[in-house]
Amino acid sequence: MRLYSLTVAYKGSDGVVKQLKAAHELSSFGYFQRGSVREFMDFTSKILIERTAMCSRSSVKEQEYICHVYVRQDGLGGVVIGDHEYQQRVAHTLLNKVLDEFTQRYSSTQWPVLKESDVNFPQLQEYLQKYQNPKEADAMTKIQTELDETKIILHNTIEAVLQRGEKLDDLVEKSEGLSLQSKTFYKTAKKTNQCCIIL
Amino acid sequence: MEDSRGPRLFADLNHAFRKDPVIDEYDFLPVTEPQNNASPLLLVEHKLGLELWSVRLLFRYAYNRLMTWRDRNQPSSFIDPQELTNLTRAVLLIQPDCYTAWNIRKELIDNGDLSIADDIRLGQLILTKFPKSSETFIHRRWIFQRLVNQCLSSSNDSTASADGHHDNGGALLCMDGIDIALGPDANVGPNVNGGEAGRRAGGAKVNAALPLESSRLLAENLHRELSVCERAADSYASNYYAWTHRAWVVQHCFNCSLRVLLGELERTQTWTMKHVSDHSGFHYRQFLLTSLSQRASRLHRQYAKSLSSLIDAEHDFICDLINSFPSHEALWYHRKFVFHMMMSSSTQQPLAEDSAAVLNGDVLHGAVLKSDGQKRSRLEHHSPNVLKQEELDSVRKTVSQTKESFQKTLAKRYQECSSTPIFKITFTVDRRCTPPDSHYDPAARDIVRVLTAGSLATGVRVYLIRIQLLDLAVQSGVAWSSCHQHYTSLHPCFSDPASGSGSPVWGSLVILSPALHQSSSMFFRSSC
Repeated sequence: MRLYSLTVAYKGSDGVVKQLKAAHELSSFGYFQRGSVREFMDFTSKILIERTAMCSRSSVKEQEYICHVYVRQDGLGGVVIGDHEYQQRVAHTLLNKVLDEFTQRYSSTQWPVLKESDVNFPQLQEYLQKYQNPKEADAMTKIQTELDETKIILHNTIEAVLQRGEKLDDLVEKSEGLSLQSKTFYKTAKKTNQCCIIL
Repeated sequence: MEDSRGPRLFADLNHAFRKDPVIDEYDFLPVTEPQNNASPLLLVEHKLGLELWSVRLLFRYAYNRLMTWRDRNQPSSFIDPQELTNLTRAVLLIQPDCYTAWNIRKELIDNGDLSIADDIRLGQLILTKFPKSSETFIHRRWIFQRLVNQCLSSSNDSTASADGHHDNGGALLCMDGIDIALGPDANVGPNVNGGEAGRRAGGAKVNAALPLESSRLLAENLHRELSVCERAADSYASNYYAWTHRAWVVQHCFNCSLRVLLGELERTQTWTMKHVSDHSGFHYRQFLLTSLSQRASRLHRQYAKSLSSLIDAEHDFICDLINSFPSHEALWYHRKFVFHMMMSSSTQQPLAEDSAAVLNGDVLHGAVLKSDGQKRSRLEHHSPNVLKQEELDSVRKTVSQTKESFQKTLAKRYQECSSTPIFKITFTVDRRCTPPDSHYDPAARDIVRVLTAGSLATGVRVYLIRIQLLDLAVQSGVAWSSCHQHYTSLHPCFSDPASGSGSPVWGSLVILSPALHQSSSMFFRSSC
């Protein structure tokens, strides 16, 4: 039961997504994989927010990982990536909390101009650590009622989220956020059918 | 071209290990083509990275040299032991399944050319990259067995004084004794991470005949071995290799000492909480609980703990997990195990008392042992029926409360299983009956199927209470002969000493089986 990354991003009215802050917990990955894994998690988070409609929630399964996405009405979105054991409801509660706190910290007028390097939001990393153990995060009891109004859409792969004609391989190839090493990593992992890395 | 690159890579690798003897992780980097003239080896913060393209070259070089040397038909060239050690290391880092290389290392250890500490460290390193490598685990078993044997041969005199409180007798290794005997040396502690202490040992003087040295190594490495297993289990889901090895270490190196068993029970609790869908961790806990149940009386004497309180705690633990993390099948399976353990210890308290008592007879009615002055657990003052009712009620509650459909399914399945009555069966085995064929009674076939499916897999516990060989006539018309065969293979004590005489075997069994179908239950009720 692990959470690997927690991302806050802003989705403009033109559909362009900008990452505002991200936190990672990658100690369970090999030392040399961490860089690539981090890049891929950011990459995945971005394409998921891009393809999630405003005011909706979804949980996307990919191998043993599950990415939980929530994009609010005002364009603020969050993604939390965990393993398949991590409870969906807890993950979505976490997203609620994080986005609310982020809004308190930075008002919605600032989001379009905010740069990731300027964002000071240490709570993100704290939340990621605290929620590693959902029992301690006291989230277990309340969530049943809190989330009921929004339906969570489930997808079985990331491919299922993509728009028609889009291919993950092409997106990876085109991405600027991924280093050459990560792209090679993706290709070799795919070739040998390893599931050591997200995507 | 390739010929020259192989040796160079090999030299690079050896250099890396000389430069940093405490490399604690390695990986292959996804670089498929050599990019510049630099070495494909990367060494940062005790982590070693090998570029992917070089791995093949390195392996081919090292493997070929090793195998040519090993080949008895060819005039073997001399390779000095240090070089041989390095060659096996190169091969094993890339391909730990190569058992020949492990065997060469065993020979090197036997000849005193390779220090055990170094070898243990290599295995540990390999397990970070290949956490499921069974060859590595098997090789480690050999090492630890060797260490234990060496300690054994000497520990009888050195630990005799400390041995008094231990009722294993002097023949077996007493870990507590070793710890005590080692007092000052053991302070090096298990957390040196293969560092200085290992280096010192790794120097030159590892002499296989030094029992003190081996007991020091053992004390140093045994606890670390448990952590190694935990790490391996962490990095690969359902890593039964790691857990089996851990169980082996507990059994053969710690000699199932109660202190270790209880410690492990405590320690794996966190792990299982974090891996609720991985049955392997629960399987290990089942091993621990079973081992404890076989030592229940000693547990009571030494730790003033009753087995039933342990089972009770485990039951609470698993129920709590089920409520917190719904829809995980592994949890329900573990609950099934715990519940059956509960039931069997409440129906057959003396069973838990000592495994040796099982066959002694006269324990059918299980006078419940009560430990005075100790808080009685639920188990101790509840009859099996009450226990079962409570269990069923709680499951029913789960069914009605949960919103998750899979959790509901699991709970219902569990409910069906645990509502199957417990039978005390008196049966006859009659060899004169016709062998099983297509007309074979479905209920009897069911039983056979369940029994042969293996008790662990289905949660069946067959407790043999008493076997009496009586010259009795056939009591039931069912063809039990094939059952008899299966019982015999499962429990050798079933075999009939009077074989050939044609006398039926009388026996009493208590079968706690969640896997029996309703039809068989009916059958049993009528035949009992």
